[in-house]
Amino acid sequence: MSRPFILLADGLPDLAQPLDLSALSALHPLWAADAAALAPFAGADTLGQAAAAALVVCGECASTMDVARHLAGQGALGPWGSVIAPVQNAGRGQLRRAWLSRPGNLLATLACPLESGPWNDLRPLVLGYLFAEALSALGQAVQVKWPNDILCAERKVAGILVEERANCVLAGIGLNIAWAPGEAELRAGHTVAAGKYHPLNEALGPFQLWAALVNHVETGYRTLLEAFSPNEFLTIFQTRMAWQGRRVLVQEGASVRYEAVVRGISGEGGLVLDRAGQRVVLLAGDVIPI
Amino acid sequence: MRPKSFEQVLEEVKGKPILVANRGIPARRICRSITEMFQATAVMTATDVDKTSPATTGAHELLLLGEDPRAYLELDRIIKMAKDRGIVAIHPGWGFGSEDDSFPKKCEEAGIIFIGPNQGPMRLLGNKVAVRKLAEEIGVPVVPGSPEAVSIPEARKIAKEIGFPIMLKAEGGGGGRGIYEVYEDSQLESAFSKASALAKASFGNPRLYVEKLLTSVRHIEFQTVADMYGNVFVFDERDCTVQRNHQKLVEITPSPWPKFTPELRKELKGYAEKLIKAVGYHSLATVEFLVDKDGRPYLIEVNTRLQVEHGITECRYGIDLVEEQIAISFGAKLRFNEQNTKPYLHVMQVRVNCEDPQDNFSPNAGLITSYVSPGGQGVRIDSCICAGYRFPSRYDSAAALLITYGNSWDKTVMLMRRALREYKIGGVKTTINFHREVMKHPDFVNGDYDTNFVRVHKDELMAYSDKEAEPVRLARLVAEISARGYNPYVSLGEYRGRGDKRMGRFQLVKAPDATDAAFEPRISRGMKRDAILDALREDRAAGIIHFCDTTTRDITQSNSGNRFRLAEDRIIGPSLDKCGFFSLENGGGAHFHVAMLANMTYPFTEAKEWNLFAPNTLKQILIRSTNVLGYKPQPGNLMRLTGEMICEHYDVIRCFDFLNHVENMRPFAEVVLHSKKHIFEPALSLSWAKGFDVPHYLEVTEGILSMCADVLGVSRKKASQAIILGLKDMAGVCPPRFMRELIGALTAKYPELVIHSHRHYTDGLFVPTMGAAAKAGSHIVDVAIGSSVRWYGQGEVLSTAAYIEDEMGLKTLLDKDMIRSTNFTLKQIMPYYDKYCSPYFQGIDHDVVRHGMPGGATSSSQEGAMKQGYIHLLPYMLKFLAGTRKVVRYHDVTPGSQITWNTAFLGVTGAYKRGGNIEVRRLLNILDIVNVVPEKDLTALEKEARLDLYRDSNDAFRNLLLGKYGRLPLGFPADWVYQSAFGKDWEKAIADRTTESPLASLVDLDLDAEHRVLSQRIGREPSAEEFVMYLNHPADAIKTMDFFEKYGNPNNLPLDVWFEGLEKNRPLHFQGDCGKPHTMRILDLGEPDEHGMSVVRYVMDSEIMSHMVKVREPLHMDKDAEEMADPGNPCHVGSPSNGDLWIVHVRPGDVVKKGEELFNISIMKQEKAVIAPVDGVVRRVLKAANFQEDRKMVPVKEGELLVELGPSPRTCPTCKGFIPLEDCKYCPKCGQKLDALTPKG
Repeated sequence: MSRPFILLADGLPDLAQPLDLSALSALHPLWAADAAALAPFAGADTLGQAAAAALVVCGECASTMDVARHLAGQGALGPWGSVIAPVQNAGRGQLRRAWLSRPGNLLATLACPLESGPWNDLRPLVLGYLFAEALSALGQAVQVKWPNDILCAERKVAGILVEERANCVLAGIGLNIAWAPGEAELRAGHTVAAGKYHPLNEALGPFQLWAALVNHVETGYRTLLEAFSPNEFLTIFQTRMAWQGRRVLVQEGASVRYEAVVRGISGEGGLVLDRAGQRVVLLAGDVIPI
Repeated sequence: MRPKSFEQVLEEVKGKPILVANRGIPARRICRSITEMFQATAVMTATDVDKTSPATTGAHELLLLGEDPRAYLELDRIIKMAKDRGIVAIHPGWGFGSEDDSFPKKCEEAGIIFIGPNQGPMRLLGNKVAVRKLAEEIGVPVVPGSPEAVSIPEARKIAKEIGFPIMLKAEGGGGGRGIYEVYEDSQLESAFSKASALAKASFGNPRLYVEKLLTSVRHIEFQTVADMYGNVFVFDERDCTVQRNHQKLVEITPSPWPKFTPELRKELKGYAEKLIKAVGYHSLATVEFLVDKDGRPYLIEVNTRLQVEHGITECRYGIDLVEEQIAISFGAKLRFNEQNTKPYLHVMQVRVNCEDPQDNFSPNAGLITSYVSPGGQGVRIDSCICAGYRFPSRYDSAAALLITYGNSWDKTVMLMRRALREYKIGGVKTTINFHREVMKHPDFVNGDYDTNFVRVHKDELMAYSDKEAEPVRLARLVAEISARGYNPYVSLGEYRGRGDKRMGRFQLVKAPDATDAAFEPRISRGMKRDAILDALREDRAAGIIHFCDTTTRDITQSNSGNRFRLAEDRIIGPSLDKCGFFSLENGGGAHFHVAMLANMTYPFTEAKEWNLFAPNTLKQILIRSTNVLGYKPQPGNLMRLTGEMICEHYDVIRCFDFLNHVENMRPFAEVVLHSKKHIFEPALSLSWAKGFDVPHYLEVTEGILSMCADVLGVSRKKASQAIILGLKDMAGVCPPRFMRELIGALTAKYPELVIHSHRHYTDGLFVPTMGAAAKAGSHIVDVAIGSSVRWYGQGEVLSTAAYIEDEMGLKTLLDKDMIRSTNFTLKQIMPYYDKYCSPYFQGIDHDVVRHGMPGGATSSSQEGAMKQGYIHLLPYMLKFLAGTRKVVRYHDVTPGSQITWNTAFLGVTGAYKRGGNIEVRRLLNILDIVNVVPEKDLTALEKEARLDLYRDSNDAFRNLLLGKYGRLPLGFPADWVYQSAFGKDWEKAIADRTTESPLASLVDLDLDAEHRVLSQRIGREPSAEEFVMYLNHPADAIKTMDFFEKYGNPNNLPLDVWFEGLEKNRPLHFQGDCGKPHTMRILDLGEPDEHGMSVVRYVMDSEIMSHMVKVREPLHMDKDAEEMADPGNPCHVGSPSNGDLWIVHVRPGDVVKKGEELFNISIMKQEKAVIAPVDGVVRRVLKAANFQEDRKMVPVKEGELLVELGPSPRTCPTCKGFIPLEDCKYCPKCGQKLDALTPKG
């Protein structure tokens, strides 16, 4: 395990509860596997000593986004550093929607490097693509629903939310590996049913899976930005993109709804739709398959 | 199976449905063969976009695939539909499914004949690695490289063996895609990973193989056809060397390359035959080779389908490959053999694509507005477009395949040039122009080129203008004017609407021919300066007075805002030329600028044309000394450049300075006086006012003669013989008695000086004054043709001549009948100008002797005052003008008159704003006082009050006071004027005054830099004229150049159409610049739609065209368009990008700290928090959102102002709370007494 990791055993005031490995093991069998793997290294590093790219494990928190934002503000978390927690009591999705989860699922936040120009604008797609590539390499093949929901067999198994704020970009990810909300628990108007992702090695707990994912994503990210132009990336992105050519219901804001066919990705990363013969580019909004 | 004869197949297939699973050109091409000999039923697949395309006309039936444009790739679905329809055979065409080796198999399973090879041989020959292996086995040379896909170390090893440069090629690629060139070892690593990843993304297969990159090669390919019984026929080569990024552009058979020998042809044909036979292939195939410059061939690939360039082989042999291919698929024996199939023609094909070669061959889709295809002997065309077709953006850009064939290479090239000239496709950009350049290129014609031809000769091949023919462009202008009802280029606002009454058609009735064959002009172009001046002196001695005509310049400048066009000059110029005038003033002054501002005419081209249609009479121009043809002093090098161009087209150069600062005229004197042909006419600017008396003007004349003598290097006496002295009364204020006195004194002092009198009509005393001037000794007087005479220009020629002859007893040499004839013609022209270009205020204004506003400015300035809502102040402004002329004394000529007017306007409106009518009257009162009461008698209060007079003056007035335009003719005004105009800096202003010519301090322009800027702006080298136009009036010069580019020469349109456009159904006949007649008729002028666009449909010659014209703003336009954040203002917080605003955290009045989140934008699920850049109070929130509450997001644009902050409020020293209001005396939270606000500095 090359990436340094830190256990926030004492928690953080108002942000994260204290954490100990035995309690972690009791949460879910998947965490038990992780706790066993972590035990020999517990207490190896503490905050501030480790590199900013460390993997931080904290106790129950409102959201790993908040913990990561706090740590980043302190200078303790830099690009490719991340925070993972077993339980979030106020996990959030896009537009402050709730992110439902139960112990055993992967709940983490990754600090992203800052970019300028098109790579900055394309970040949601880049992360979606890279996580999809990483997940496909580690388990079931998945697809990306524009801009970055992860679908496996037509069900949403993970969501990514990117928050940019004052020189700090954080990507929160929730991945269903132990549990997925049922139809009744999803918000009204949700776009796709939830499902679970199965890694090849079913024994991997959230922590070990996360460590592998971060490694994959970081490597993929470096190669991608070095070797490809943003335009080339958009071509590549479409190889992982779900619902191409599919007729969908487009929702922009609360009131605007129309049917269209998904055609691809525009030069700026927007979703290209064919609305009754007219080319429409969607930059924000949601699509629901019909 | 027994071989069938072709006839048997015909019998078998007749009436049966054969499907073409393709679209566009290939689909149409194949349907033609299906329906010709076979008389089968041609069925074509078509998606929704394609179902009405021109290509479908060749099909009997369509197999509709629905709306997905990619449905042509859904082979299973197509086969199922075909089976349901009873299709007997499917032709895949090229592209789409044609290279999918599952297609034949799927067809076979469905019991349908696949018109093409079997799956096995297709798969083998279609796989580059397999075919390479096969070639090596049977002894066909291949490009050195890896036999199959390799790793990086293997690639490096092979590269070492074969040497760089190498190519990395995607195993799954093709058609020029997926190829990476690597020139050295160090690039290999990154190129490999990049190519591999891209290959995976593009073709689903990351595997790469290595090949030697051949740097100078030709692409030579061989068409083969084979039947199922082992018969193979190989045709002569197709040379497809002209390529761009491996995409073929021109294909030729046989190769025009001198090095392509019959031996090489034989060798390569042998290889092709071997390959085809080796795999038991039937149907069409193309074996492609690269041949290096030494004639060494390398096999590159085999294409297992019909190819785009098959047509040239068909033409060379007179055969139908598709017909043969179909017959073979049904089991026919190959009909071709060496005895019955012989090559006999030279053939070439160019690909006409909807691409813009000048924009890197970017595809462009859109409406084909016109289509004229070439034809005639030696031409074949396979196209998929027609006029009115909307070329779709979703498919490839091929629009047509144009083939020419002849019995020699030269004939074929000449045919292609001709065909490309005939080919006209309107509405979209195509490769036609590019191909025209290719056909002209000597290397191409000589067959001496390789696959780099297009890249190497890019600059030459792209150097064409993609302009449509001028009449087509002019017709579009007519459509635009007609749709709007007015012509925006006239720059007179929306002077009429589409439905307004028209002046009616301009139908010129020719004047009766008044040409007097015996009439001999006394003075004509071509005479030397001295001869002309001698003739004038001689004539004056004999009592003969000459006339200069200003009809096409000064009088129409003053009365019609200079809109008189070259088009009308062309009509009356030839007869003006025969009237016996000394000169025709046809250029200069504002005319030069307005030519570009409103007439869209190149001013020197206009002058040049004048000398062609009116070759005899001298041409005269007016120059504004240092300003030349502009409005501000010009640097010396620009003056000279402009001066030289002026001398090319004009004979008499009249030059004035509004301050009579003689030195300002020197650069022009230098340009003109050194020519024996040109006449320099320095002019005295005349005012009729205190101080500007005869002795003053004699002194100025002395100065002029001294300067000219100095330039010529002669005595003043000699100088007085070599020039004409102009007398310029621009305001029209000097009465007869003054002119009599002045000219009397001048002729007494300089008896050999030729005098040319010029004045305007404004005071109503034109004729008696000119009579007095003539009588007193003037040699020439300015007049104009009667029907153009109004109020502000010159007087009428025949009445002035009559007065001079009858009342003054002098003679003239005018051809009066010719003048009458000219007048008749002009009479028909002027009403159009009167209607659209007349000054607002009209009529004689004798008050000009007080206010001195010259020429057209008399009306335009007053109109300006009215339009700004100050008509009630106008009498005061004119009084102010009259008074100021006594305080600061200079001449009532451009630009001085403009400065005085602005000073009056600003002074009076300023006073009005300060204290209404009372203040205005007080201001004028004090102006009266300073002008009548001597300085010593003024009270202290009056001295204080007069400082208000020029407190509102502008920089032009202040610069004038500083001497920046030149020396004031009667010296600087009194110090109090400086106190008034400059306020507390007045002493410095006085110290800074200068009497030097502004020329002395002007730095030369960097002409090279200006030239570069212009070239870049217009995208080509400007002509010498364009450069001078640009240097004088940059913006309007570019406007005119752009206009010419867009529409052509507007002087080819008749007068009424220029102002009013064309009404429906009325034919318009006009000629283009090349003299060809054209007809246009508007069929329909649509009502504007919601976007404000109106469709104009018209017939141009015999073609129907349509054009969309924006005639008004869109209806649903956001009236209160978004306010943008000022990037320099930290209190303006704008949206960081386009996106959706979903939450705003603040409300107006909220106090925010730096770094606090103000709002959040969502874009592609990235949520961008925007924080307060500074501490402050929220002043405005321009858009609000709260998604969680109302589920509404608000779209915002990048840079749009969303929150405006105000400065941070005071805080209470005790509780640290914010004090919300500025006038709080106690803290509203804790009651602490607050200090009074410190006043702001």
